[in-house]
Amino acid sequence: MAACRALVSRAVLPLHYHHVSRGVMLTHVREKKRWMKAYTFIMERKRKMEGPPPPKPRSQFPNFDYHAEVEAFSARLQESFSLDLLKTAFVSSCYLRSEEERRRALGLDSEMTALNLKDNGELSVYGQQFTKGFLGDWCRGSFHSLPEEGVAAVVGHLTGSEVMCHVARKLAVEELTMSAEFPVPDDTLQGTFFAVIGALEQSSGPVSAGLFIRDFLVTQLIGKDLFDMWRVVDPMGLLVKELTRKSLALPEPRLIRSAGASTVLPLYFVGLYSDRKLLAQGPGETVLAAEEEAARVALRKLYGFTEDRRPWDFTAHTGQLQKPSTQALASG
Amino acid sequence: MSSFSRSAQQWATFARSWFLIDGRMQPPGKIASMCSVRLQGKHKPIYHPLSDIGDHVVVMNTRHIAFSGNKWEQKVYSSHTGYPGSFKQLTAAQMHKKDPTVIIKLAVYGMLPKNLTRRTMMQRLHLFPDDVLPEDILKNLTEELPQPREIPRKLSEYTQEERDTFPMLWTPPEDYRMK
Amino acid sequence: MTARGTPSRFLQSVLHNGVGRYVCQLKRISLVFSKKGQGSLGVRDFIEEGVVDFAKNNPGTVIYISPQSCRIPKIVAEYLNGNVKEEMVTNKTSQQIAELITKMSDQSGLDIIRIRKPFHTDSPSIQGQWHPFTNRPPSIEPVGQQKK
Repeated sequence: MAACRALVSRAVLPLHYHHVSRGVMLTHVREKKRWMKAYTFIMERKRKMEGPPPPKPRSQFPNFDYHAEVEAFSARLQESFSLDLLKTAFVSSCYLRSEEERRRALGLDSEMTALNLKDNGELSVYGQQFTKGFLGDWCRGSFHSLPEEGVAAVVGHLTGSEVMCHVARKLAVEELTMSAEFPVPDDTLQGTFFAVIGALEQSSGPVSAGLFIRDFLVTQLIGKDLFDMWRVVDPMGLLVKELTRKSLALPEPRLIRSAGASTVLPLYFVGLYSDRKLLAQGPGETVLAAEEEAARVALRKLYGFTEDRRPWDFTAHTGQLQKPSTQALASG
Repeated sequence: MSSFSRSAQQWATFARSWFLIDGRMQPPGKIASMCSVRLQGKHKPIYHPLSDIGDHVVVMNTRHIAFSGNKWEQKVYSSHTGYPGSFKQLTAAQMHKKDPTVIIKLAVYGMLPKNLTRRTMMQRLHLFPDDVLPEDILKNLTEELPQPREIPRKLSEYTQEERDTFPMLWTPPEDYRMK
Repeated sequence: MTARGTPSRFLQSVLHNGVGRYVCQLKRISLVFSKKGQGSLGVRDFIEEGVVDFAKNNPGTVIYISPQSCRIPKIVAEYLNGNVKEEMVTNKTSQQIAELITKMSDQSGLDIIRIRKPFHTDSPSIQGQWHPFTNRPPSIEPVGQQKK
């Protein structure tokens, strides 16, 4: 910086030193601006060294009215939020803390300019409980034979920071969130989205909150594989456990097809037979991998998570959802 | 219906199969057209000219192929290296005597598309003059393709009973002279 | 530029929009115009006639009216996925602007580029994807062994 300032002043001074105090850009001369080339060159190099400027929140740009935006947020999602609750849901605790610190640093009287805002901690916890309860009930309702670990894995995937933040960013929650730092960190955004769900539950009841979760979170399951969300290290052990629970014969792996066995690109198909009936077959690069894959296919069939399952019905309304949501309320 | 994981599904879809064709008493052109389709991968629903998805084909008993007509004597294989006096012409019988696999090989080579992938596809063609296949090739095989022509039985392969019960189209007259 | 060289994408929607419920993807629209300029006449007409109706019909879209001294009036549309589109509306009539804004509110905000295929599915095959052993009868004996 020092170097660039020196260069600028050297370029500018000899030309019109009586104008230096007015700054470089304000010199009014009518001839060719010979200082311009050096100046732009330096500014460009400075920009290159510093990198792009940090992103600024949308609220710091013109044309942003917070109240109108929050109202539009509610109308856009076709939900009737109570606006106070919704505004509370957007205030994160880190924002309150940083705002108070900022006012203290400015030397304002803490009582005169007290922040009458509540943070979304309670709403967030409440929303999280409701969401998890609802999603758990939904999973158990849709996949009757999915064990508890599987339900927990699916719910954990949907309420995980990756999916929640993806949904929240695409619903413009990020720019309404009051956070200390920008871009909004993932856990803050996730908490805010939970708080929004909590606010919806408190303002228009568990049924519409359940529909909200179904429409925006459950749709994220479309095109997902069960074992993408649920890491099962030993599918064969799990399959044996499931079959013994149903008192069926244990699976018996058989190599049913192979191609190119002595090449570097072999393909094996292993079939799992239980009581002389084909449970599932799976391909693989080695016999072991094929056996594991076959076990996974068998598990998918058992749990009803195959690719050709009936798609979820997103049109069913209140009547069907009434039951799981009340259950969720009771459990949450 | 299968619900394979994505990686396993892809591995299965793009795996190369190994086909076995028995060339005994079969016309070379029919064998070669079967080979050509499979070497290019045109029998697959996922065929695309830019993707290399040809299969392997093993042809055995190429020594016992059968030409129809008098092709063994009349069919001529010509070659010219470009040097003066290097024009060579061999009949099919002569070629077959020199190398019992070369007739099938040339027939397949001529049926493959004339582009840079031709040599790669030819490397996936395995020709054996007899029905003795090496162990590592035997292990790879997936399926044996049916022969394009039914092999006619020789008269010596018919039993006396079958010969007696063979339907006679006409009763030869008394004075008919059998050859 | 050839068709293969141009940027392209697959058919998609933001957040599976419309599977659960439809969310209007246009979140904010700013009308930038001049109070005096001749080119902004249509925008001023539109603000007098149509903007209130549009706002009533689309409560999910925030509309900002910003008069500035500018030669070229424009409409800045911001979408839920973060894309911003600017449209120049110099010398356009009120009706043309109304049509333009309706079109913008119907769009998803995804880049308007070549779409590789006019269809999309999340479950590519109900029967299962093809593999070399699909519909092939199982073989009992190993192939080629009986010949030995």
